Amino acid sequence: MLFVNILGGITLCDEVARGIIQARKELVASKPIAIRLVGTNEVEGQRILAEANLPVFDSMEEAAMKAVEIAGGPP
Amino acid sequence: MGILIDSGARVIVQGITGVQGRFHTELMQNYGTDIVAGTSPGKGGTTVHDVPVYDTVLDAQKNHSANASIVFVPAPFAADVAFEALEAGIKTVVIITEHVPVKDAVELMSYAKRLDAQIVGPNTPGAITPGEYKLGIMPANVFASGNIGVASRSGTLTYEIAAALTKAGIGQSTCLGVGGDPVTGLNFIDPLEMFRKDQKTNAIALIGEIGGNIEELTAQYISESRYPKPIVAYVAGRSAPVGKRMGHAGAIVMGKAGTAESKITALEAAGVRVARTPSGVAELLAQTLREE
Repeated sequence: MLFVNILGGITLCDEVARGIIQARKELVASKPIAIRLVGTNEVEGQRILAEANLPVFDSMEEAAMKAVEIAGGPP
Repeated sequence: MGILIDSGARVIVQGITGVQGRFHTELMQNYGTDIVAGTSPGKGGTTVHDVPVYDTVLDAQKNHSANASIVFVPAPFAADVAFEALEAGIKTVVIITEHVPVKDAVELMSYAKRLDAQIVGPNTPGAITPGEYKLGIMPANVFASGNIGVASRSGTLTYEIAAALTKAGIGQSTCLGVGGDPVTGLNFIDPLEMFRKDQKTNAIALIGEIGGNIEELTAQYISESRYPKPIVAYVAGRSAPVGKRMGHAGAIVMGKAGTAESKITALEAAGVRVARTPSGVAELLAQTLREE
């Protein structure tokens, strides 16, 4: 399971989103993923992920709880 | 008016023709910052987003009387261009660049001190006075104008905590990154002194992290000076393993020195409320403001 937590300042959210999509295409075994993506160019980044049917969160706490849930860890 | 520069500041972008310099020049312009010139050796005479480019800061100063600069050049040259800005009379130099060599940084801070100039960073997101100016690289949309001063060793945690404050309806007076490299121009005491005098600031959020001892020294200063405004803090790296750098060159626990526990204990002993999570800072500040 992967937890991606990005609040972009220099980092561009659309670039991150495209990177995630590309990685999932190139890697044969795609693990479950929880993504939090906000900051510079967040609208475009979230749109790219939504188009690929990847759920994306605004808050770190929410995304972290989702990550724990996916991983089957303590509630 | 912000604590670092006022909204009338005239700014030079050093390294304006690079990808980051170009990108953030436009974002700062959009926020209302007055970018009067840029520098890039060999590119003098060109323009970037309608900003005239010069080979040197001295050349730029012949046509523009800038009083602040922001540095986007790579680490091996960052101190060099900061020296150039200081020698051309710039009084506030913000260094965004990370991993500036320690020896360069030590020499630069000593020189700046002699000139009574201010270096912010290296490895800082810069400063923002929401609604007025932005001298940095922070995503503007997470900030809102208000009365909380924020000083931080971490860029992203600044955005994280500002976003939580904004969401809770608590705006910020100025948010300032002191920098994450081991040697920086400002510690926490400098911004606390500025916030003390700033009439717009009612309370302060300090964002520290493991490594070094500036949180402990700040705690001592807060007690000894009987600091008049409430302070809430967050210290990153409570679960950091010993000997491992956590993102920043300066964020490392060495032996028993620089632990989050030591910093949290010192701050709490000085009467500072310390949050356990970044968003907890907003909750503690809201509580503090209600009690005032």
